[in-house]
Amino acid sequence: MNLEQLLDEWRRDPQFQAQVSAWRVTPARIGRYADFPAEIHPELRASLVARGIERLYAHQREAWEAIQSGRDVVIATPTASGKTLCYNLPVLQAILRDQSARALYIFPTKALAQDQVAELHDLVRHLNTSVHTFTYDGDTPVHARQKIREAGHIVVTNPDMLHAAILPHHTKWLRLFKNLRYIVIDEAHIYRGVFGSHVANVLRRLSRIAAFYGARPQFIFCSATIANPGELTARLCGRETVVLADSGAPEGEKHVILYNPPIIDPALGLRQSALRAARRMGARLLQHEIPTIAFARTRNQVELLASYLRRDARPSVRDRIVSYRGGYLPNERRAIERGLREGRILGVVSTNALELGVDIGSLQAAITVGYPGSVASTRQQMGRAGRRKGVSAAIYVATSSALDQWMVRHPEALLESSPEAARIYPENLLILMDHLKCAAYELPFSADERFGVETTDELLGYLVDTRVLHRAKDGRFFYMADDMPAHAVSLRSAAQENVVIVDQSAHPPAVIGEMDRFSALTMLHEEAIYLHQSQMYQVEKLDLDNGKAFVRPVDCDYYTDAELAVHLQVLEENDCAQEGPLRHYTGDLAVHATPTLFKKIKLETHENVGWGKIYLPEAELHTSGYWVTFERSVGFASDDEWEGALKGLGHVLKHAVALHAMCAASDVHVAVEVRDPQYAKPAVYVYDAYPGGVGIAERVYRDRDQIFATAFDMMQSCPCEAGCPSCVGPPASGEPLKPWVETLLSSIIAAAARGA
Amino acid sequence: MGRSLLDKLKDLERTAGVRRPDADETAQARGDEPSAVEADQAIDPRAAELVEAGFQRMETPHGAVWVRETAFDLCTQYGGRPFADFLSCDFERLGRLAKAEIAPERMMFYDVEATGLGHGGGTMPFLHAVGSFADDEFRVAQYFVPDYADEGAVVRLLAEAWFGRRDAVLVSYNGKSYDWPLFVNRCVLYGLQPPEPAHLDLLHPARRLWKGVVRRMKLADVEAALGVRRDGDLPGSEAPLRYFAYVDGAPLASMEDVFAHNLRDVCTLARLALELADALAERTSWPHASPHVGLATWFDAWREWESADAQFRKAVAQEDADWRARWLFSLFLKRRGRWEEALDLWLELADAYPDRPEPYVEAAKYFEHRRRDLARALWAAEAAQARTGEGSREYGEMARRVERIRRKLEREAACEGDPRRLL
Repeated sequence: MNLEQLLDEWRRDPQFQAQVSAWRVTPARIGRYADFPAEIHPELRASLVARGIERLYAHQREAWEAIQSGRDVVIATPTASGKTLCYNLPVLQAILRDQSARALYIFPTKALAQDQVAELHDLVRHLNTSVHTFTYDGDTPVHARQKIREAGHIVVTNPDMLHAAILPHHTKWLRLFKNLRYIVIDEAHIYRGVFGSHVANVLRRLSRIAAFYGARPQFIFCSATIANPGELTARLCGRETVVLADSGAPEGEKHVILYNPPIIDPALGLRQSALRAARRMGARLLQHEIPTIAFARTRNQVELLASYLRRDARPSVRDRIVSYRGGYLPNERRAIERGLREGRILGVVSTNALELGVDIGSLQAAITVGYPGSVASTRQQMGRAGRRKGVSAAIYVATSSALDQWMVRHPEALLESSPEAARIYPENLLILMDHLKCAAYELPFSADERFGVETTDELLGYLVDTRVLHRAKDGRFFYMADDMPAHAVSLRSAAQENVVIVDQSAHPPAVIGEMDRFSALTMLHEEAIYLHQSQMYQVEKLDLDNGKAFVRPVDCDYYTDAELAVHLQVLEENDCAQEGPLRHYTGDLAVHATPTLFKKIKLETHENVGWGKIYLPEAELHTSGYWVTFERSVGFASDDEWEGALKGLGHVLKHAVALHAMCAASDVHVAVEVRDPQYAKPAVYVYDAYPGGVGIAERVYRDRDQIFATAFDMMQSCPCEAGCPSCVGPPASGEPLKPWVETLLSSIIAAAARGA
Repeated sequence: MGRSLLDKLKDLERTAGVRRPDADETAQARGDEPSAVEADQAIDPRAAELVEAGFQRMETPHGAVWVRETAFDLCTQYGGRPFADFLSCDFERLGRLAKAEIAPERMMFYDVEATGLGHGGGTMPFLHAVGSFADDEFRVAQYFVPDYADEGAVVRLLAEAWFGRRDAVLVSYNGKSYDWPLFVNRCVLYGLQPPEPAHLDLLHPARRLWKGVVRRMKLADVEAALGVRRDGDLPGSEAPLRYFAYVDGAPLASMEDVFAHNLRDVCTLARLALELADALAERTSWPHASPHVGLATWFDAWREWESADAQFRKAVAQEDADWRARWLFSLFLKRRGRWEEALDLWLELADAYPDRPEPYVEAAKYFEHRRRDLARALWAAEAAQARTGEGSREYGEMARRVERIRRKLEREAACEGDPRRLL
């Protein structure tokens, strides 16, 4: 039985159909092609022909034209549409024409860099002219570095290396910077949030140094499908970019199935586990030797599903089913990738480690178990199934979580609406200041120079006042300390002065993660259960002075939830809007928080099984926030009712914000006040969990109508009666929590409708 | 409400735990010094201060350069010897290390003080010193950068007037990895083609000679071994901080310690070059073995056998002649075919170092293959085997050697027993 026949069987099976909330078929599409451009270098043409490429896809040609006309571009076509060639062609063309030309390739991780370099080597191999491509990362031996600086036509690196090793030592890279023609940034959609904000600043520094040496390189970005590739990349590089999103690659017929496992306990609304449903479908696919990839959310689930599938398979197939996740050794992963490309491996179960551009060829079927956190991510996983010819299928299996259930009831959100936007906020003051220092170290700032923001001179002045910079008599700003500032700035972590999490059971003790200080109060207090890669750890000691939390792995059936006594102080209102009885605000907040006690909550049932006190000092966070105040007339008799309703609203709002802003729920905090000290009214606050804010709260203010509509929908579509952790949170005994929240949300939505 | 950007920033940094000097401390550190703006308006008291301290203002096409020259009469003693000794010194062998011909008037002793230890674009040398011989004097020119903005003129001047000279030989200590790359960086920053003078870095030769005598190879430790004394010297790490204070308004007097430190460094450089040249010219003896061994291995590599031989002999004659000195000498003798002497040394070493099998190994090879004395070869091989750990690679090798010698001995005995052989 082939995939077409199997799909046909499922389609005719009423039991299966009953659980399908959507089944979309995208018909096959023929490719749109274009000839090689006339000016393409004969060697390059010959190399392509030698690899069996006789013409280009339309979008590859469009990219070529845009790049040749000097534009900065972003190629945002789907997975496996030949994006790599879009940048390799112009880069090689430039080098073939002028041996002194240079290009810098930036990949978010080492593994991806390796993959793309392999492909590039393949293209270069057929050229007569020798083009040197070198990877410059933490693994590059010291003796090779000199040669790379001098002779590398294409230098492949990652943002961290660029930030800490290449830019501060730019004088040693004279040849690269002087002749830099192209900066290629692949997987640009990864650069969002705090990491993206850092990277945007690193790119500002890069452009600044290139300009110093008289170069004005063009940017070529590649991105997965996101809503705003143009906006994101323009903010990353500080210039307008041409967006090429229309793929010319042919596509076979594709089925997308959204599957909600059957309810097994109607009273409790319990559904069959998604893993089990995925196992059933995966086993059928593999039984017929249909190449299949399944994505699970945690490492444990990956191992579990892989072992189920192996158990279900017949012996000849059993060895061709593997699991793949972070934590495997690089050569182990390479072997799996090769096996997939060559068809030796039939089935793979993976975390989203494989979601990125790692080349594994195209599979016929993809199963996504549980919403991976964003529409873009879901689509990337689904995109793993899809071939130029023939049928493919992508199946999404919902878990019982609120987001999953909402998704499966709103197939249009997953299938039709544009995927989420990737946001960055390079103007976050702390991030900006970090990079301003790094930039000043690299080259002095001239008096009227602008670094991203108009207020650059004010910020430089501040650094002069704090004796980080010196203003020379010619008005320029020079770095004035004996350290190298880049060493104190990590692109991947949030705030400075993080708390590192140390696993004491490892020998020697190993750092397994880090967390900003504010979150550490509630997540890493002593006795807290900390979850890392689905392993549970108990915190034994939190040493805030030295920024360390010592943990030890445990096996237990509860997690902890700390209560935080929060006092908010509005520092500045940046904008506000009156809508009927409501007033929406955005601005700067000072958050004073003292953790008080924590509850132990049983997994699955969410029962409260114990509590403890937390002894930690008050923490202060300055950030940006969104808040809304209500007139008391909206409707509750007592303060207790108000408090319950506001908290319930906060609970569901947090998830709606995460969905809308493409961030983790932990990136925002929510606080409520029944009688707000400032406004003397009930209020709900949503604020960024990162000092200085990363633009989420401002976005909430702007898009509040959509977000409240989503929150309303999430609450309503949840099958529970009075509220549950999947929507508005668990109600206190007998509380009609859900109707309360409904009252609040309805009033907000009604006010917005009247206002509009 | 309206908070200023700076208020916001201060709060943010405070709550995010950014560590910065206290605002009060900052104000105190600055004291009541006139601010840079005020200073400019007056008739530049900073310039007056420099003049008073003996700096001269040189006008160059790219701006003013401040330099202070300290001249030493050739009779001046430094580290127990007069600079005049340079004139009678033999630099032939030292020149081999620089891969250039060396003469006193071509040498430029170079040392910088910089704003940090890093090599990046933001580490600026604020004081360059060049020592040289001219007109019967040893002169040290110290180029000071009183403000970041003045650096370009200094770098250009050094690149053109000093290091750009065709016959220049740059002499430094650890300058191959610090001072010179830093200077090259600065050239790149100012758009200059960096000059490429011959470069003699004294760190490696000094390490080769005195590693066994001086514990750490910092310049201060090495000069102590030469008898140079420095009292009240400024720790090197203090220099950047003094400079930052100076550009922030502190008086020039606070820089004098840095100038003095830098001046002494350059004098020591010269003194060290003299010492190394003399050592290489075989004019020096030490009461230690390791410097002689260092010289000997150089001469050995240069195929100057007689000199190597002489240095080895001096080395092993010292009281502290250790295993390495004697062992290297024995191998030298072996390579030179002086077997009897080598053998004596091996037997001595075997007695003196009862744990080391190597001397017996060499002796066994010698008896077996050179002298063809199988009985003594067996004795030496067995002695060597007894000193190796059972199961080790060396043990296995010795076991095979013992085995082979035994077989040879048996064959020999058989031949001797064969009456026909007597015929």
